[in-house]
Amino acid sequence: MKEIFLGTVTVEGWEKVKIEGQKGIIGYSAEEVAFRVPGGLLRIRGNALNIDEISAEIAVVSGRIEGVDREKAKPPKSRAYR
Amino acid sequence: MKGGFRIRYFIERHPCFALNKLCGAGVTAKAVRREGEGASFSLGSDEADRGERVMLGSGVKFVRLYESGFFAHLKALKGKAALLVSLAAAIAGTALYSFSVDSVRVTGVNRVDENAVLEMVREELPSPFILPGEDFSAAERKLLNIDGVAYASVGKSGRDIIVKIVEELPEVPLLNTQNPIPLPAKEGGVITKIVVLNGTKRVEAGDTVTKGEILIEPFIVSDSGERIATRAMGIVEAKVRRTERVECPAEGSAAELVLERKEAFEAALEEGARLIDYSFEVKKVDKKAYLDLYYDIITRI
Repeated sequence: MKEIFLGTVTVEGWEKVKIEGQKGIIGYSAEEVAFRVPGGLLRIRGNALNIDEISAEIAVVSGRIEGVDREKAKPPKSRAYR
Repeated sequence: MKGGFRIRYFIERHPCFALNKLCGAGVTAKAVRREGEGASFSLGSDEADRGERVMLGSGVKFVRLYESGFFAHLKALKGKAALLVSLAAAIAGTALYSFSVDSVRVTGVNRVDENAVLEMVREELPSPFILPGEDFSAAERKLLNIDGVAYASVGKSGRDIIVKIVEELPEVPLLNTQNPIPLPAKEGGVITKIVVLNGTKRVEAGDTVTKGEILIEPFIVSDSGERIATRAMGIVEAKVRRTERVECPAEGSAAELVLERKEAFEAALEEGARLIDYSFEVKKVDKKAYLDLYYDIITRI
């Protein structure tokens, strides 16, 4: 059965992104924050990115947002991030 | 967040791993900031214990940085408030101690009853606390009513009240003195106070006198109306104007020069003299600017 992303991604004025239903953070830098979401990855690109809040249900990223990309899941080869 | 304040943590490495562990345990991390390979974040005080247990259990090395938030500030403020209160209490205690009167010392009494002086001073100064700048003139006037007191001054030195008495000359038959010397004015001015110790005063307070003018005549009049020559003695104070002219420098403001000159003048004043007013004007003489300063002082003449 194919898993589909049931969460919500809300972009507020290109300054804040709210991700509901994230399954874990896999990368974090000032230019990119990546989350695991059902069915793939969600990458937030920008500058001076900060994570305002992160919990099991929600993550809020703020900064100068340049883009939000979704990648479909690939078969895991190795543990990409710790 | 029920605890009311937040605790900030720093983890050196693998922040994503730590954050996922925290999220998995139902802990919410806020204000996550990437710092090199690590990151800092804050946890609510009600979740901090659980978060620390999760990190310890997962082998995440962390450092507790500080507490923030209203209640944390309140805790810090409580400490500061206690410090301020104790400081205020110490200052108040010191002030009360320094304002309190320890003893009354009388100097210059030989024939005058010292107890009468002490009693009079205590009547006039009933409060055990004397503030700085207290006016003792009423007490000084009252002291003049005591028999034999020609002049009295009251002041505070440390925690002591100092009463200085100048006694009247003894009532003994005065013989003609060989050298009847009058008391002339050393400077011109307006008399503000005159106390005759010996002789007969020629001027009153408020009179304008010039330099060399006789202030106290060298004689006294006996009960029988006879003029008896004597050496004039007394204390005469007057408001005197002194002037100073300085050349204005090419640079710098006149106001700074005025203040500088005024402070130098005050520092050089003779003992007992005090500056009560000053003024100045700038004049041009021969293409040069001069500053004329006028100082009004009260001094003995």
